[in-house]
Parts: sequence; structure tokens; C-alpha cells
Amino acid sequence: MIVMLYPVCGVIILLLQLTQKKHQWLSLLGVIHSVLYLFITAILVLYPKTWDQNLFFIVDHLNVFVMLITSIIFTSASVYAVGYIGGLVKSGDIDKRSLRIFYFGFSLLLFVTTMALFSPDIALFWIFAELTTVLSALLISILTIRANIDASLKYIFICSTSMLFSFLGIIFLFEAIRNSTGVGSLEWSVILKEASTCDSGMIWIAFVLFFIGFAAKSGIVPFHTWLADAHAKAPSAVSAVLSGAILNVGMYGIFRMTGIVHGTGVAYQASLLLLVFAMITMSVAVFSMLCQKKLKSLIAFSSIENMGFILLGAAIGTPMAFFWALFHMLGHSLIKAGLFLSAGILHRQYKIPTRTGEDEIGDLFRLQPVAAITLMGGFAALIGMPVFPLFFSKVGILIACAEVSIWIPVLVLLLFAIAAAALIKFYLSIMAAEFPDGEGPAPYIAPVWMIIPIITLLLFSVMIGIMMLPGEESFLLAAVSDIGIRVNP
Amino acid sequence: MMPDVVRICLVLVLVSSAFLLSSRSLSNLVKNYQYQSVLLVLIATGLAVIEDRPLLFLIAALTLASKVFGLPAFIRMIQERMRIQQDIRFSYLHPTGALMVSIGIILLVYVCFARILHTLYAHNSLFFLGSVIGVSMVLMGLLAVCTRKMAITKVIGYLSMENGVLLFGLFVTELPFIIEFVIMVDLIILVLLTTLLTVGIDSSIEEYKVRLQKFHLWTEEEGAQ
Repeated sequence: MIVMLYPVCGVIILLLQLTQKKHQWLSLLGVIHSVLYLFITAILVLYPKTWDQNLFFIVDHLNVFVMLITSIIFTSASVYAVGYIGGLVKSGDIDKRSLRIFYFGFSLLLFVTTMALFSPDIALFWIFAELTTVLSALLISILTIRANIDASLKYIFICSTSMLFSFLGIIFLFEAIRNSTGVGSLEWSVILKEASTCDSGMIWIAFVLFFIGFAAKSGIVPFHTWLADAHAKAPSAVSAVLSGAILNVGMYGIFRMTGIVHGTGVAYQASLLLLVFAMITMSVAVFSMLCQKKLKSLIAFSSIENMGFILLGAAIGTPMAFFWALFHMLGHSLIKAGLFLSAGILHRQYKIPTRTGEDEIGDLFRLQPVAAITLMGGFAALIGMPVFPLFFSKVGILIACAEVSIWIPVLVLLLFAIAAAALIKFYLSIMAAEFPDGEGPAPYIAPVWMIIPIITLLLFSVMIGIMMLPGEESFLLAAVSDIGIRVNP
Repeated sequence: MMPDVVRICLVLVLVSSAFLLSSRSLSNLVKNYQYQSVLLVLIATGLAVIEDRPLLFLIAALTLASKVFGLPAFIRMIQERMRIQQDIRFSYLHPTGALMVSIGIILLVYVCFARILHTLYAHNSLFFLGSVIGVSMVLMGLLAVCTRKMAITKVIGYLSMENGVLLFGLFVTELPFIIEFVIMVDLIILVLLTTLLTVGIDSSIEEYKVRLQKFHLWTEEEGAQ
């Protein structure tokens, strides 16, 4: 019954938001919504006995784990928004009349993301995933700047057209199950169970088509062209959610589908397909990172690189690879959200986008010491330094890759080195920049609501980077098992 | 008799997809989409009779309400407010090239499906034809999304793709009605938002907020707070 609290709380909050007009109330309701979801998810994580399967929801370790990431990111972003959105209103970047649309859209995005993750049925999952695209696009375009609307439309067109191919895949899957069992089914559990008895050709086509849509949703090359624009142009609280939570929805779909084909005759072809796309994605992303001059664009391309790396884990397909891929998803979401939120402080400080179109960042440590430190921590984490969670996940996936071919980790390490060079080069360039005496901007005093989530995310990522939380390992192994990958006890 | 009518409708649907790639007039594009949707209604009705699947009557009714009347009326209203009549710009491919590529797409889909699905449709050529045309339509719609410049035309390309998915679904399998219904609702939300955003991109951005006010999305009362 606990899981039913998601829609109940969600609907109540959404209705209340519709009746409110004051900024403070709208903002508070947004925070309450995400905190409630975090609380419900914490209960689900701590008390698996409360899970009950019913007609409307599927609850397993995999979706509870992804939901945990989602609710942490939404909670951080909604707390951050308390201080951030007010600043945007004051500076005239966001119209007061858009506030209700913004907060309602934000809460609705959390609601549909949750519904997508807990959908028992692949078609319902598709529908909710598609709705996350629509709502994300709405939030990106909230600033009503031409560049934002452009980015928003690009996002909708690329993701939605790709998602139509996924739906064709779902139709194939339904028909394959119907041919095999006599009764078609769209339920994840039934598909997972029956896939091995279905026609391999049909399953292969279904997998490829499904992959196209959800690869676009996760920013996998060549469907990635929307991501850098959308993540860079959106308000920072939205960028954090897009990168830390919404990309995972696409990856969640790919994980489930990979599990479905795992036991069929086309498992090898599917792994090869994922491997090729993962390597291309990482390569394109790291070389693009080298030529980025804007902070948010750099972070956005880094998201593409990390999605490619998570996909690599799925391509290898062993329990160890999936285990670390899930762990990488958690670590990446925490760090990336923290980085986008830090970028938001810099955007307020340096009035980005500037007239020249470049990020004119200077005197960073003097003007914004907290953002400078969190930025440094975030970049170190992305590089894969010890103490941060991505260190373990990178090592773990690379070891799993080495079992397939030693050339994969060699190539990936080379790509990591290029990404690290891009991040260090950018950080040094902004750290070295100084304004001539008397010409720099006055320090922007970031509200405490903007600082707390950034520090919390960074500290949490350090915590999971230095130790496994009690029960974390068994929970992740159970999630791998839920994907459909047999885990040896 | 009925299978022949369905076959004729399928060919006409393909013609309407080709028209989408070449027409420059925005109002003609919307009309074309409307006719394409009418053809889908006829096909769904025909299949309902041939296959004795009453559920398809519901899908036909839903398509009629949303795609023949609802969405075209909304897009037409937006077009009138934008005061743009023509979309004369193309990227990557001009109409002749796009039509040549379309012929290639249809042949490719035919060959692929003949290899992959021959066991499934060996007994029924009508279903094979419907599946081939459905997927071809999706790809031709994608071609329109890629080659047409204006966002509003891309929206129509997307809608045509979605018609292709519906057509494919009609012939290949019978999804639960609730899924078909929710997809339609999802599509409507997507098209409403996208079309509203196109106002900001296809016309001058300075007028965007004023136009949103005209659609009653913003009120002065809210702005005054």
C-alpha cells in the first residue's frame, strides 16, 4: 500500500498548486512534494516487506533504486529553487506570470517520472517517459528566450520522433509474446519470463527499435544533439533534474530491455549493438568536451560521456558490470546535479548569458568561494578521483570489460584521459581569469537555500565514495537480478 | 470488396505522406493531414468489418474526434494567429530528392519485412501491405521532420509519423484499447505544447508573450501579483 502514497500525495500537491498564486506557497509545495516522495522511497528502501505488487504498480529493487536517485535529485533541486527562482524573478529573467506554470510543471515532472518507474507495463512506461519529455521541454522553455524555445523544440522533436520507433518496438514485442503464448502481454514481468520462448527475429527488431527511442532519451550518440542545448539553456534547477534524474529514465528502460533479451538467442547481437553505441557516445562526448567554452555545455557533454559509460556496463552484461553501472548512475546523478546547481550560482554572479555569449568568469575564489570549491570537487569526481563514487564504478566496469577484451578498458581509459584534460583545462582557465581592478562585479550573495543542496549532494557523494552503506551491496545485487541477470549467490 | 477498399485507402495514405514532403502551403499541409486521418478512420472501420474486431470501431471514433477534427482545428487556429501561409525552406533535401528517398524507403521496408515477417504474414497479403505502408509512413514522416524548416511543419511531420505507428498497430496486433486511448491523450498534450512553442520560434519572439496572452495562457491578474 505504501507505493500508492506516490499518486495520492502527488495529486493532492498538484491540486493545491493549482489553487495557489503566491510564489512562496508554490515553492513550498514543490519542496513538500519532493520531500514526501523521498520519505516514501526511504520507507520502501528500508522496509522491503511493505512492497506489494498490484495491478497498477511494479515494485522491485531496480525501480526503487532509481526512484531513490530521482527523489534525492528532485528534493535538492526544489530546495535550491526556493532561493534560485526568486533571483530569476527579481532580475527579470523569468516572468512572474510563469511561476505557477514552472512549479506545477516541476511537480508534475516528478509525478510522471515516478509513474514511469513504477509502471508494471511497458506501454504505460513509454507513455509516462514521453510525458517526461513534454514536461521537461516546458520547463526548459520557461524563460521564453528564443534560444530556450529552440532548445526545447529540438528536445521534443528528437526525443518524441525517436520514441515513436520505441513504440513500434513495443508493438513487435507484444506480437512476439502473442505468437509465443497465444495471449499478448505488455507487462514487464511476463515479457521477461516469456522472451526466451519468442521468435528471436521479432525480439531483435523490438530491441533495436526500443533502443532508438530510449537512447535518444538518455542522450546516446547519434541521438544526443538535443542534450547539450537543453541542459545548458534550462534554468539550473531544471538542468540538475534533467541530468540527474530524467536521463536515468531512458537508461532504466534500456536496462530492462537488455535484461529481456539477455536470455534469448540475440543476446550477443544486443550486447554488440550497445557496445558500439557506448564507445561512439563516449568518443564523441569527450572530443566535444575539449572545445567547450561554457561551463554548462561542458557539464552537459560530460553527462553524455557518462551515459555512454553506463551503457557500456549494460553492453558487457555481466552481474558485476550491471552492479557498477547502477552504482555509477547514482554517483553520476549526485555529482552532476551538484555541478549544475553550482553553475546556477555562477550564472547569477556573472549574469550569464552575457552579451558576448561567452561565460565571463573571473576572480572565482574571491567572489564565489563555495561554488569554486564545489566545482573543483565535482570536476575531481567526474575525472574519477578516489574518495568519490565514480572511482569505484569506473574501476568496476573496466575490470568487467577486461574480461571481454583488454582493448576495451585501454580505449576507455584513453577517453577518460581526454575528458579529464578537458575538465582540468576548463577549470584552470576560469581559475586563472581575473578582472582588472575595480571592473569585476560585486559578489553575489547566494541564498542559503542554494548552498545547502550543493554541499549536501557533494558530501553524500563522498560518503558513498568511501564506504558501502549497510545493505547497499545486497540491494544493488537484487536490482541486477530484477533486470533479469542471474546473480550467483 | 472490403479488402480492396482498404488496399486503395492504404495507397492513398502513402500518397498523402509523399504530399507532406513537397507541399509548401501550410493550410494544404493541415488539410493533407486531415485527409490522411480520414483514410485511417476508413481503414480501421474496414478492418473492424473484415476481422470482426469491434474494438477497431472505437479506435476509428477516437481518431475521427482527435485527428480529423481536434488537432487540425487547433493547428489551423495557431497558423492564423502566426499569419504565416507558406513554408518554402527545406534543409538537406528538396522535395524531389525527398520523394526519391521515400521510394527507396518503401522498397527497403518491403524487402526487410519480406525477409523478417514472411512467416507471420504468409497467409495474408493485406496485413503485410498494411505493415509495410505503416512503417514507410513513419520513416517518411521522419524525413519531413528532418527536411522541413519551420517548426509548425515539423509538428505535422511528427503527426504523420504517429499515424504510421497507428496504422502499423492496426495491422500487426491488437493492443489494449486503454493503451491506444492514453497514447492519443499523450499525443494531444505533446502537440498542444509543441504547437504553442512554435509560435515563439516561427514568429518574432518579441510578440510571443503577447500571443500567449491571446491564447489566455497568461492573465494580467497573475502578472500583477
